[in-house]
Amino acid sequence: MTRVLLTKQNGLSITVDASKILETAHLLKNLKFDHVISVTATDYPEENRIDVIYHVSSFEDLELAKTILEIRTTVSRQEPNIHTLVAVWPSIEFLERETTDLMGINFGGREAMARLLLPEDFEGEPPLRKSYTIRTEGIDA
Amino acid sequence: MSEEQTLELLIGPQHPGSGHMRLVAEMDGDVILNFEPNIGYVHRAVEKIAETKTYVQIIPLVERTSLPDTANHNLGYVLALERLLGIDAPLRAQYLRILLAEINRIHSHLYGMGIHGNMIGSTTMLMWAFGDREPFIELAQRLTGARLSYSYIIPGGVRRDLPQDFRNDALKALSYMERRLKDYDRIFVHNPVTLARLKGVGVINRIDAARIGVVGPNLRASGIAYDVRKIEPYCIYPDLDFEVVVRDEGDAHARLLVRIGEIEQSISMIRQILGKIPDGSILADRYLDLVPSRTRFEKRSSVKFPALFSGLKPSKGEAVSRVEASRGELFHYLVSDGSTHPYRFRIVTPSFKNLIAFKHALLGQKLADIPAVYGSLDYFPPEADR
Amino acid sequence: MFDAVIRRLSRALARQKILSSLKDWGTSFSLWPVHFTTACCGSEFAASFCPRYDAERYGFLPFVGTRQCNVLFIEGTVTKKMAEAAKIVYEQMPEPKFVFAMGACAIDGGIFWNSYNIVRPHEILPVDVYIPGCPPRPEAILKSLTMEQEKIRKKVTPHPEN
Repeated sequence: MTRVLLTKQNGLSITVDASKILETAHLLKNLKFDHVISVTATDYPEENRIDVIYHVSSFEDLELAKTILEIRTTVSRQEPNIHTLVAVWPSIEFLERETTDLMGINFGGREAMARLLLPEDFEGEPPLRKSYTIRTEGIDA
Repeated sequence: MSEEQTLELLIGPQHPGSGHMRLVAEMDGDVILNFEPNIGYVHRAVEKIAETKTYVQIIPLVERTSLPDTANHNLGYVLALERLLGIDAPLRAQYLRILLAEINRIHSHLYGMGIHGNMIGSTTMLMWAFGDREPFIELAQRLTGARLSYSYIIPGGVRRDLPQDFRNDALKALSYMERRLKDYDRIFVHNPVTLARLKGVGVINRIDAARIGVVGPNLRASGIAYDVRKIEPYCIYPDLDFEVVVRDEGDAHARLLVRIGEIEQSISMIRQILGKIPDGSILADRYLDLVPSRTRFEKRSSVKFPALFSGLKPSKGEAVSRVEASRGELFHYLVSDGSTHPYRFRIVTPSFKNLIAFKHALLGQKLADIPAVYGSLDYFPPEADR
Repeated sequence: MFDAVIRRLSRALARQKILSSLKDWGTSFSLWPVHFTTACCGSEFAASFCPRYDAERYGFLPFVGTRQCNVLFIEGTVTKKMAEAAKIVYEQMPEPKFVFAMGACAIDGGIFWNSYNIVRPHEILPVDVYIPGCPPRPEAILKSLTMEQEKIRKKVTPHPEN
């Protein structure tokens, strides 16, 4: 399952199983990747999966900072559970909360948090999922 | 017993020291024990809307996330898009891009400094900074046609060429700004009141700054020389001679000084750009060939925006870009499925990354320090909430 | 008893044409917007009070407390979360009060028209003046101001207590 490949823009991409994410993060932290730039979740309803993509980089090692490391993992749409990395990278805190809010990913191992971006009484499907539709321009809108 | 003594204080969203957010502070007397920003008051779902728009329509959309800093947001998005499309802008266009980005950085920093000054009670600084911001807005307006929302940078180039007499006026504005920075120094930056309010307040030390991942001037004020313009130089930054402004103190005053240092660096960069901007086309040849009358375009030297790009279809793939916006590192991630709309568009804005600083910088500070620290972080809520 | 008589008398006096036009004239030059920024148009709103445009010339002074202000400026998009706050701020302001809706978003959603998290200000507040633009230039804000002043002096804006 674990795969490492070189992306186009001098970056590395690592694909790991969702259950290994915490170990991977610890490993990378020891390699001086000290902060998270972004947590992105992308929904693929046809394949019944949500990709969770972490982009990490380094402040301390300015040579290492030239790369953005991509960690890819996949969770299912019905049970989007993954372990939190907030203990490894505190900078991930709001990024994880946002992903929970907008994509419905459950980050296990951290206390339940109030909504971050959406109103507190927001109900229904997480809005960034593809099945949550909004109006679009065009004749049939 | 101790629970009875603490008080939960809600500040904002209607409050001069809160911006468009609510700050929840747990107070013990006058001291902040716990601090939690409550954001989402300006969450307008940019990422979701982007999935319903064509690639070119997203340019104005990303600008609206950060109105004082549109050029850098525009540039970041277009760089990601160009990587997806596999095109490069000609050299002159790249110079013009950075020219606008640096003009924007100056007036965005002045915006932040003005608000900061106002928050700690120096209305003079607000008036001065906002007044001195206008020459640079005027310059940008002459280059692009708009005060703030430029939409100037397009895939493959820029929209318009340098107007006549721009160089002279720009040089005038730059030397005016240099003179004014000396005035700021006397009246505000090293004013005893400012020093008393800002020195040693809201300290984020070097280790914490890296740990919690703040970006931009706030990071550099904590002693980390991380600047995307140096780390992963884009456009013409490798050809420009500039320094990364770093301070070690990590307090609110250091953040102010870093911004002033960056204005000085931007002034020098704009001088260099104006001195060595090459002649040539402002749009990549691949798109220039599509313009109906190439000669007419070259005479007018401006690009008619919608006609060219309405059916832009990048091939399947992903692209990331990062640029150094005024408030820090701006990250774009674009997933294309080969259609005219992006499949997924992700932006991580510097203000969103800096949000976490509130939780750390304000612990143990006094209530009255909230505006001083808030202003020093140059936090722009619509940028964070998107 | 005495208070009630005085109050009724003063109301009757205020309804007299000469006094009420004097009051309207006064109101039109003391429009104080409350410090309540709803979205990104706030940066142009701020610019209109600063040296180049100086809206204070028209008696238009941004102020901090809701109780001292009579103008609510909706600066751009109003999200659902912000709408609650906007309503509370509006209710706290004393009469007569006026609402300005600034920017395309405040008219009908603007570029964010299909967002899931916005409300249109006219659904929640009685808007007096709409200012088009994205963002409107400071000149447009000044123009809206003089328009509103004229509206007040001509009594186009109904004052509930008159």
